[in-house]
Amino acid sequence: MSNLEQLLRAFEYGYMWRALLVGVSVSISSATIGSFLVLKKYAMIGHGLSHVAFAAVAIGLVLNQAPLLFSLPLVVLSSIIILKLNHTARLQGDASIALMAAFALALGTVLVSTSGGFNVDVYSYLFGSILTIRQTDVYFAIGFSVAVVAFLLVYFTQLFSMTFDEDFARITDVKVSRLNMVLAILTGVTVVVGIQAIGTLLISALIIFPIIIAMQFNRSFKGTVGIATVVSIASVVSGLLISFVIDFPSGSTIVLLNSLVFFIIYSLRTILGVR
Amino acid sequence: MAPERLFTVEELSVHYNKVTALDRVSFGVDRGDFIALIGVNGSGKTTLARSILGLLRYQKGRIVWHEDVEIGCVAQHTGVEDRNFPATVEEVVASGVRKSKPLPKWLNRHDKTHIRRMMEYFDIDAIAKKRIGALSGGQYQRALLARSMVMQPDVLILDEPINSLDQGSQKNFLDLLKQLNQEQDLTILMITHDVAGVEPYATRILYLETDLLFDGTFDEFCETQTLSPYIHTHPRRYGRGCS
Repeated sequence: MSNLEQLLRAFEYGYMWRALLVGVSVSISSATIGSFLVLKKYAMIGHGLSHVAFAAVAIGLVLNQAPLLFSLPLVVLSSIIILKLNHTARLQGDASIALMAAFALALGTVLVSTSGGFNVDVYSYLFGSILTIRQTDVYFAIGFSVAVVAFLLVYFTQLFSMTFDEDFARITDVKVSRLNMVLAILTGVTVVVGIQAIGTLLISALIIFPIIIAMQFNRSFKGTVGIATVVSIASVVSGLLISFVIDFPSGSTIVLLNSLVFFIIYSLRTILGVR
Repeated sequence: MAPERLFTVEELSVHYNKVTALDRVSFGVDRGDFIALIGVNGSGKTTLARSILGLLRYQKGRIVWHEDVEIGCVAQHTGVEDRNFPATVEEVVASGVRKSKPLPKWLNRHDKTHIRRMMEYFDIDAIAKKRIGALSGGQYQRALLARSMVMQPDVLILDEPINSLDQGSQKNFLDLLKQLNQEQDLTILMITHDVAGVEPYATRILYLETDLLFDGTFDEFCETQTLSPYIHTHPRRYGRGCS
């Protein structure tokens, strides 16, 4: 069977449709929220939270419960704690994230080792396995991405203002603390929603890569967020399909694709001397 | 007619841990004042400005606002931090619109017209679609000034706005401030190190060294040069205009 035939066959499977729907939903929320996070110099928050998600999954496996049940509250709570640590405990943003990530990874590893080590179940959460996506996950992912888009449409100018200049935003009555809190919560939920399609260890890439790639095009803020979203959707859809054809882990394929696109665009800019 | 008082700083004190940044600073600001706030590095200038802007909690004293005063600011610019930020001049200027309006919070037609007029006034309409990071220092500061003026403030606080500019751009920027001060009665409080440079513009000098050591006109300031050793060690900055 040729690769093209295999690619077309992908659409005959229900789990592939579920993966694509969850993937597109996650790519929209991760790219849009990621744009603000990266420009606010919180690029590593997704990375930290993905380690927390790994610990949460490990807790679920040890207790023989659905891992995502623990992930959502734990990751969202950690996201808020990182935000608070950054503002109250005299810690740089990335220092509080590194603390949280190291602690969560150590905890997760200890828990996994007590529950039989790194088996297939653990790997599927680490690197993504589209076979584990259920119909309810699809509904949740779509509903969440719609909520994220609605929030961004209503508060776009405020979010832009506080991303560009937080002090000035405060002076113009932007509720900076409240919006930061909402961003932290949305980031936490995005990480959890992306666990199955992308994997806990790679979901952070979907927060960082699209905006970094989009920034190479020197567009307006709106244009850059738009390009980031398109890049994100395109990489997730093509990554899922390619991973189906060549039987690679979905998350790794998506991240490798993003890396390749970034490398090509960055190299072209350098060669052509675009500033 | 007595000048209209906009706000009064009363016995303001700020401490960072055990270090005193401001010590019982008191002064009043009237409508139309053009104040140069000077002092050595670490003398509390930015702390004072941030306290007035409501960005910093002070431990003692108070700031009394005498009416519903709108306040804007132009922060210190090093020319590095925003180089890669993906935003156009127009988007940055538009972020000056007050956000306290009810939903929907996006810009309406009135806001957009006002933003366009501001960009025309500050002569940045031709570069509206340009990336903010690609601007020269002078253009960048004018864009930030336009952003603040979109709010139509009564008071504008500027933190060393001309530091990174060449001499020509410094003069253009200060001319623009004077024009706003005289034409629109805008009250200006500007942190600067270059007293001689702002001498033709500022109507008042505030000299800060944790506490307020001087509050008066430029001529009075020149007569009291002995108040700080810093003035003697920086004759070119502080002495030139007094000769």
